[in-house]
Amino acid sequence: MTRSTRFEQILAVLVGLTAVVAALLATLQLDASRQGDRAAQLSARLPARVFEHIAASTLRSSFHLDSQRDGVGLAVEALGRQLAVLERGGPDFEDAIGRAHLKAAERAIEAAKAMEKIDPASRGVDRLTREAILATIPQLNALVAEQGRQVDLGDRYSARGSKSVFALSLVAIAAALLGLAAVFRAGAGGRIALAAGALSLALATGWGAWALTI
Amino acid sequence: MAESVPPAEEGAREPDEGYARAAAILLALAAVVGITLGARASLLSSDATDAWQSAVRQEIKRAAASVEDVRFVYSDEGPQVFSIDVARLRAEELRKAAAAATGQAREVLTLEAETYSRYVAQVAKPPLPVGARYRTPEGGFDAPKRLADNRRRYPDLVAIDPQEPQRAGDELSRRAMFEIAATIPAALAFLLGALAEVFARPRRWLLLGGAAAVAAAAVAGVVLEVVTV
Repeated sequence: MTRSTRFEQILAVLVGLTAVVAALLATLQLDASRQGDRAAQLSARLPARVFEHIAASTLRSSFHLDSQRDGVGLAVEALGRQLAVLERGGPDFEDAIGRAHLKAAERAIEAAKAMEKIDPASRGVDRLTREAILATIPQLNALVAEQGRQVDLGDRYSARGSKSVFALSLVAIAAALLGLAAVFRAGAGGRIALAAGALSLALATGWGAWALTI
Repeated sequence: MAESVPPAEEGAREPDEGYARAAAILLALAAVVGITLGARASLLSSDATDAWQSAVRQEIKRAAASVEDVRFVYSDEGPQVFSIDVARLRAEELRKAAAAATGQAREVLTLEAETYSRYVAQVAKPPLPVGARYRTPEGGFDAPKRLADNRRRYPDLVAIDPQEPQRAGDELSRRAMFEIAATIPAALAFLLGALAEVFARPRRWLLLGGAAAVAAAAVAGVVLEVVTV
């Protein structure tokens, strides 16, 4: 090795720094890409769960509501029969039928309430289906909020990823210019290429730092 | 060329050429290790995305199967079975009332009870889940038990766990991140190698530092292939 010129020393430092900046930016870009992909995937996955919870919990609650309504309807019908007999007069058995139906209605309401109280876990319903049929409005709100958060996160990392890709492009330009400087050596062309390469590398570093703040 | 070099200079040039070769090897090694790690990180990253996509597919498949089973039990079967349960309760109460009545009232109550019993006998047939297995002590329909039995008919669908590919994707993603981060010491080795080319005095230390950095990057790459992160 002969003694290096100032130009060669600067060129070597810049070439080495280009490699380091490229590695740092590649790490930043991959991290943004990973986080962004994960957030996008979760924001696509969560709606399936939201709709499952809405559908399953509505089906269950409708069934229990309708069952209790059936019992109440029967009770109203029975009371109506008894009232009609009382007001208009009629055979004794009509009142007896009314009373029997009223007792049946009370039992039906009791049965409907007991059905709603059954813990699905005690019957062996799997965890995810259980969570779906027992979902409450606050739980659904939390899922929807989380889905929105993942969408925002995906947007944020996508913006960071785009900026780091641009910064990597600047690094590639810097590498090309430094290669040109190495070919031209210390002449005017070489110095211009070196300066442009250094500027491009500085811009890439700044752009990468900006990407980090997003 | 060698013949024209004086003996004293020739001795001084030999270590220089050795350093030059070492620097060139270091630069090449750093580049190869860095590119290999970067390529591996890219592959792992792609695998992570595949695993995450699989989690989405599984979530949709699982949710669709779950909702269909819930709909079948709570919307198709449930209302029919409970209407039969109510008819059964009516028949029971009418029969009790008939037992306590006399004359025409007894006749009418028995007839009414019989009407509901016949209705129950006609409609309470399989495939409706009307057996004792699904009847609650109060006389209602044990929908959760029916749902659990229904779900057990398709164990493959119940066994779907989207968290499994989700976790695998997370693990692959972490690994990809560590792999790409391991290119940083390789790049540092490249920087040190480039500096060793032009700065004579600290050349030995620059080369040693570069060798250590590239070795660290390579070891990190190998370790990441065999351990779970």
